[in-house]
Amino acid sequence: MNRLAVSFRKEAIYIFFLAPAILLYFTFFILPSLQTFYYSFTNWSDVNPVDVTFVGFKNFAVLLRDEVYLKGITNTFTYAILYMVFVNVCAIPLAVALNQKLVTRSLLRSIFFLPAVFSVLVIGFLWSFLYSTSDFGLINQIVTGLGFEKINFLGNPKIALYAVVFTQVWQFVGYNMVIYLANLQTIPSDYYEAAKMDGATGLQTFRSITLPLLLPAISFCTVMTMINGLKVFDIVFALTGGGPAHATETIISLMITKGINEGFYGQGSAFGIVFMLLVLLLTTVHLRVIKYLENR
Amino acid sequence: MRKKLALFCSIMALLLVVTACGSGGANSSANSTGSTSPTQAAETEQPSTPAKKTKLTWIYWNNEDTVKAFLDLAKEKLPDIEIEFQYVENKNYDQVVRTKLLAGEGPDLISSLINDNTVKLGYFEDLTEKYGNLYQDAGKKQYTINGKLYGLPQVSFFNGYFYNVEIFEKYNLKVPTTMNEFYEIAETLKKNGVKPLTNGYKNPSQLAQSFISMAITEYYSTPEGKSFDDNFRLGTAKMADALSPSLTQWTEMVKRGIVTMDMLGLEDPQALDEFASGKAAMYKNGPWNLEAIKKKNPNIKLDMFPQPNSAGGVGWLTGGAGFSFGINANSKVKDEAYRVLDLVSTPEGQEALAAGNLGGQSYLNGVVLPVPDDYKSSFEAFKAGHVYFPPASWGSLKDPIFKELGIQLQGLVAGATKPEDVLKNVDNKADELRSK
Repeated sequence: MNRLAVSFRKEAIYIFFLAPAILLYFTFFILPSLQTFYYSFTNWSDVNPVDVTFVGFKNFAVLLRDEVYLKGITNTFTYAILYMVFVNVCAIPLAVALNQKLVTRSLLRSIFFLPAVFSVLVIGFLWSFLYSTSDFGLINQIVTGLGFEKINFLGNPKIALYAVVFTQVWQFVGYNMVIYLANLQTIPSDYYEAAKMDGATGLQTFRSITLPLLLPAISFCTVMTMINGLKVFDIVFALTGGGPAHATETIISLMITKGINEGFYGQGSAFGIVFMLLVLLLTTVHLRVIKYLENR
Repeated sequence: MRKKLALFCSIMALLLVVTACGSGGANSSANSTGSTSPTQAAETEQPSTPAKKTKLTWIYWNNEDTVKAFLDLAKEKLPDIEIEFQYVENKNYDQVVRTKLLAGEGPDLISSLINDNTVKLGYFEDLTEKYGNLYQDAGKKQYTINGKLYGLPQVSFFNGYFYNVEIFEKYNLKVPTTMNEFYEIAETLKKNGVKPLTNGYKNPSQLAQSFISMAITEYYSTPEGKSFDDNFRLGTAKMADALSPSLTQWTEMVKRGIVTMDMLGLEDPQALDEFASGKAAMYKNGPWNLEAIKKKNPNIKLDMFPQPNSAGGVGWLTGGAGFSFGINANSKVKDEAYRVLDLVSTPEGQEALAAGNLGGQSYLNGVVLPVPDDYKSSFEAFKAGHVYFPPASWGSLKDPIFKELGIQLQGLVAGATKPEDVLKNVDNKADELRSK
């Protein structure tokens, strides 16, 4: 058997094992993505489901004109940035604290991680009752018990989005804390001992040793929280449904409302393409910043 | 040789699997006993073989308990038919069924979804000839497209003001017949520390329901309002032109603190809790929540009054046909589907369908269903036929426009949308939808 035949046989085995994964990936990602791209330039809708025609950039122009779409984009970016910042800003100190030798360390780690185990929808319905303005709303019972006015967390368009962000920060701080903990445990204790011998304070140790060596986890967590933030839908669906008055509408919630429920399939596809480009742009910038920080 | 034998066996096994997979379809197979279609069944059936059941599917957004009485009746009256009931949540119903219909499939019996688009796409059987004369015009209107009937209107739903009788008696309050009386009641209740009205206005449709009730009494019930819905559907009439006075009247409820921003943060079950526990005196809703209220508070004494008119007289309830029965034009068991509709169109069938929605009325000619005492204060409205649901005539605009109306009203209540922009924005949305 010549070398070419052997090489081909080897390749064929690899292809055989990879084929199912490639087939699934092509069927459920590549093909729908290409179709979405195609339909974004057509008049495809529930009224016109078969004879679709090319309409150029009309669907994209609608996105730029429609205030609701623009509101959805703004809300999504606000949500994603706040979510990323607060989750990571809270998770790092929490991980550092729970990396110390505490008696209750394991218990506390479990408690902080626990909310991440639940489905976002379950957490959404739970917080919907906690935030309620009715007399049965736990938080408002406490607030009024302390002599303050009720806070209309989900009914006030000015604060509803922030109330939604808070629930997700609460739910996923523990999850990210675990990733930071894993990274913290890889930092050799010699560094800390040397810093201690040099008389470094706790803050100096954190700034000069912990934080730089946590950069791999920081880059992973910040990118993932940013991407998850940009994809937000389920918590909005469970808590506010995009309201009041479109105040918490996000890109995905609008894609579902307009692109599916209202039957504007072409516009929905265009919004999907714009969304993909925005995520690509934002994560590229984000990764560059992280890389720059790592190089420093 | 062994390899060739193995290859041959593999191919045969694969062929068997493929053949087995291809032998059944959603509607073609009657049941596990193997009958295929009514025609084939009739041709092949031997006198000695047991009766074969033909399966037909029905997708509906209320759970099976609400139609159990009817399913039992169908089992008894149509022993050769098996109705396979499928529940799909209300908010996903249109999307799920529309997708199935688009693929040339879907259930044999379809509840609702009848509008200009779905009829134009040929999804529904024309029922005019067989059932056109059996049902009342009030019910048929929303399922009639271009003069043809595509769905049979079923048990009406209605929406009014549930009120706590004991709270009303405690403060000597009488059922209001004008809006001014309504405002006075609200004022008295507020002075006594009772929340006058509660509703889960986090759901925009509930808010739209509140405004539409006002619009019915102020505009739709007038001669000018009769043709508005049809003109609005066609795009020849604007909400901003016709319904602005009604909106001004409705805004009074916001100004007087009856509809508040707090309600925008409430889910419907939370509002129901407030009403059932006596923290709020009124709750605008319908019979589908009656059981839940009584379950929360078995001792509650309640009644329902219709939306008062600013000029007085008998008020109006918001309501219409709760759902319809249509036949999928692509159904492979149409004969059986027609037999189910025949059963639906009998007084017995109507009573069975109403059993899960007490208080709902029948649109079948000559059938009058009993109204429970819990709706005593609405009897006059029922008698006068003052039950109407305008969005039912908006065709494919119904769901998105009703929701948009609620969203815009949320903006008004929250102070984020100017009153003059509310209806204009809804008109713009309707234009956008019509331009698809």
